[in-house]
Amino acid sequence: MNAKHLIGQLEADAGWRSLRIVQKALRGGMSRPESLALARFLAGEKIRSRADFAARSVRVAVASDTSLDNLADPLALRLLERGMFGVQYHAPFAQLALETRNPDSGLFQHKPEVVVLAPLTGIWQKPAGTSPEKVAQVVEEAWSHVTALRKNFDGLVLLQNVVPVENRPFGILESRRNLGHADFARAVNLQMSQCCRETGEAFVLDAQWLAGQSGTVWPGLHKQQLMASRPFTDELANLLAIEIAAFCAARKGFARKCLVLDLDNTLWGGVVGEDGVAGLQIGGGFPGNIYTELQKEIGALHERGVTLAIVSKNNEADAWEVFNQRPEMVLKRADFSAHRINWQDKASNLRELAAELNLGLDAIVMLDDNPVERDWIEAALPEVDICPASDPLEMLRWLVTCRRFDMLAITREDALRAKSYAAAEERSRLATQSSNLEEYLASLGTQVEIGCNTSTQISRLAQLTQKTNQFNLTTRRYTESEIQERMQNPSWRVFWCACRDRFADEGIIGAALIEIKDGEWAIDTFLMSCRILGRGVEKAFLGAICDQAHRSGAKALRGEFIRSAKNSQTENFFETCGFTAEERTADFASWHLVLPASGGLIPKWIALQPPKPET
Amino acid sequence: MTVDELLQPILNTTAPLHLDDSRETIPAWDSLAQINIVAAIEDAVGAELSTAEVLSLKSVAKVVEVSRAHGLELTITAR
Repeated sequence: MNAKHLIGQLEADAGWRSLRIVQKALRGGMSRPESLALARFLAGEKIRSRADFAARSVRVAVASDTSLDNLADPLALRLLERGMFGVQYHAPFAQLALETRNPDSGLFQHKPEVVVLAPLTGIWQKPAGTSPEKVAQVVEEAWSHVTALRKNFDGLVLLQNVVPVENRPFGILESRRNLGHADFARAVNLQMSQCCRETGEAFVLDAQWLAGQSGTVWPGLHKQQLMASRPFTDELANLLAIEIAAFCAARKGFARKCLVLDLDNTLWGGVVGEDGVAGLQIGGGFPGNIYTELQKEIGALHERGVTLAIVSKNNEADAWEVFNQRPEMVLKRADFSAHRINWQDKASNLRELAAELNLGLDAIVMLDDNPVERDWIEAALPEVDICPASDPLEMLRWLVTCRRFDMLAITREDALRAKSYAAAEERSRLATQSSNLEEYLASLGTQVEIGCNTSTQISRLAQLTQKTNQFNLTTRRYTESEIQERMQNPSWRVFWCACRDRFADEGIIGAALIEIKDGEWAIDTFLMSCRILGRGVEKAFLGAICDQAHRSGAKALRGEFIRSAKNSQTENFFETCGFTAEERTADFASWHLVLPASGGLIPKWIALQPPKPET
Repeated sequence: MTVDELLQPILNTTAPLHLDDSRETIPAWDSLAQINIVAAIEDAVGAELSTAEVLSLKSVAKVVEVSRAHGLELTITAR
């Protein structure tokens, strides 16, 4: 596969199918000239003129105290690997301080969504002591760039930390000094993490950790540093690019939500139909311990909120027998929210599974040891991200390093999600017993609570804007600092909606951002987690907002619909809620509703809790 | 490279090794030796062996076969 062919493919269609072909080529290893050619194409005008470009693009700016320009090409390719097109800006050499402080700088003109700041890559070239006092001074200076940037930027800030270098003036005595060079770097990095954690203004881009992974030449001793003051080797630049792409994916709604697993030679070693339950490799020594570790890793993802499912060609009874009879199984049957264990083709099974879980195919990652099955799925469903490994150890390594599921925050709702799917099953069992829909809905005992500008919910609300694709009228993504700013802005209101019924506490599952303009409430964002839909909660939420608007003296409510690849189900939402259409094109519509609204929007089977005061 | 050069130091022997030698015939071929054999092949071929290959390495014949799959031809003393 050569770059020219891949570029032709992308020119013809920039969808998942092309992206998978490119991904495969990247995995297979491309020669440097070829990957450069591809990266140049991705940075060019031709791809930007595509109609489908906007939905996949992410604007990134990079500024450093030296030069990170060898980050540009790997970043273009790594973003592509995650389904995104990077629109990058790299500040001129060592212009970090100026670019972050001048509101007319190239950085700000680029209108980035994500800014990478690397203020300390050249720290070792400056003559400096490494005393404990110096630590605070260095961090303060680095942090000043974040503060400066924040005056004019409310997107995502990634602050790169310090990579320790080769220079150990006291050699084996370094650790007896206060501080030696390596300890100094560690101290600076710890303090930088603390700043990020406590203020929430930035995320650490952990170059120190990644440098440990890259296992290559020290930053200051390689050719590119000496030839062009590029402190990072290409290997490290590539690892940084993977990490930055993960941040971009989390920010832009490209993080994956569901892990689908094959069973034989994936979750355990051997084939249950041939080797029998007792003959399977799981637990104990090598290679059973690989499967144990893989299951532990999957379990950790599950605890973090990733939905698990099974798609396997097997007799269903045999498969469950393994779960029942092998105590070494780390994962239990109840950890899986859905399964298709049968002899159907896996692409059809995956399609059904996604529909059952109410997830897009592009929310799914699949592990399957069989290359024939993988090729089949990849050809039929290019949206699904498939681990390319057959070997269990390679699969484990891929899962540990893939960064496909990473979010910008982990919230209470992530932990509740697994229970929520189990509750959905019980709910549907109840539905089959009820004679009519309304009776069924009433029997659920749904309680909805709304609140406004609640600072403790900033993480969850930002996460909802970043993750929700289907019931999302405008698909505007917000960072935590953007949400916080709107909560503090008197002409904005940030509403949340929580829901519980007799089966489950779903936590906060809806968000609405309102801008108050000319005595009217304009709905900037209105979204609802898709596992709640079908119970009228979205109408109750909008109804409660209408009441609030009226009570605070607003004359009317305005709403918009901006089409995305995923949100067509919301196209007529405002209309069904009694709004009047104003403007309507294929991809955009706007409505208004004069207040007070006639007729209640809140379904009678829902008990609405009074809103809590703003905190 | 010969099979003897690769395996004799690991199996602590100076006797020539033959294709039908295996974990059963060589007492020193224990689990620690197994790890050393895997590492020695990986060093020699400059690549990582798959889990299936690692598990298959139970005889000299398999050592030759796996090495060959990675482009390393091990010569062997005829019996």
